[in-house]
Amino acid sequence: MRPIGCKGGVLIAGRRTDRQKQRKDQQKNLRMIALGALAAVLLIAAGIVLTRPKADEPLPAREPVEKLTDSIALPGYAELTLKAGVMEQEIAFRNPEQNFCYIQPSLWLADGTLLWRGQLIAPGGVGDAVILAHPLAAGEYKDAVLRYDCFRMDEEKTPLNGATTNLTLKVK
Amino acid sequence: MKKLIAFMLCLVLALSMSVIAFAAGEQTGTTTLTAKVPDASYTLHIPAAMTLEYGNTEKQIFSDKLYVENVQNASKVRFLAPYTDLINTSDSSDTIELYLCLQFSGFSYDVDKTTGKIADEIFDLYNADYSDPYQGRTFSALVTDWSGATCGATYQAVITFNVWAEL
Repeated sequence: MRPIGCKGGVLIAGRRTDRQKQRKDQQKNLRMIALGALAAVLLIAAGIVLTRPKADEPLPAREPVEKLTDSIALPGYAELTLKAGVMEQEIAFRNPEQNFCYIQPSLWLADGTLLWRGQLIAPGGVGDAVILAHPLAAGEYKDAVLRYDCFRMDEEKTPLNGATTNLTLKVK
Repeated sequence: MKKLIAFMLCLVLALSMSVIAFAAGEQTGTTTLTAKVPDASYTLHIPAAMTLEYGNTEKQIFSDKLYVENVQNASKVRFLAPYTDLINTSDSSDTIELYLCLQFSGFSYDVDKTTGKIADEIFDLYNADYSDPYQGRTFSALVTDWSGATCGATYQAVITFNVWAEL
């Protein structure tokens, strides 16, 4: 034990041991923190490298969908859930991929009130989220209508047969 | 030691920023959907159009393509088939009377133009009580008088199939 000095003729070796020990402990803690930070950095880097999509890797090939030629497939619903008190809804409609025509969905109440009319949707596409013409109060709206108008994908957008599907709107 | 820790923290910060840059790159060319497409209760198939032979005054079967598939949680799927007369696409006042019939078990049932009922009844496309619950439907069309048709005109009739599921 090396004395660090004298003060008033008294050796202060004991205090120095405590301070040295403290310093050593501190250094040990800092080393542990640094090692932990290094490990975290390496883990993050590994995660980024492993999960980053490779630009050159081609997407897995999908089987081509057999297109309908003289009929139209339309999704039907027994009920739909809508949000009460707001016009913006979190639902959208899809045109099945096997179709050869545009579909244009619209929502109506039983009394003939138009709630929403969507855009033309190409086969395989999903339309914009439904935005109602006016918000609905909470409740059940029976005999509402989801109407599909269908059109050829030509310049004139020639009308084809369409469908109306009756459903219940559950507004919550 | 302090410099080492400061350097480590800078590296962590730099790497976390590069994660954001990768995410921005990944979003390029992709579509972000903010709405959910609900699961369908059934898929309805309707005939797209009908083509009739000019001058033919016999019933012409034009489609066996009205049916449903993938019915979920419904006991019945029922339908009506209201329709219009043949309308000149260039002059909506020029029409030819059209009659629609449902062909079923060897018989022909008239479809009401306005209500879409078949022989005043409502028919099913799906009935869970049947041994074969899925019932595809075949339609025929009849024009009895072509004399009013305008030469060179294109006529079109639209059938709007009205379908609903009963739980």
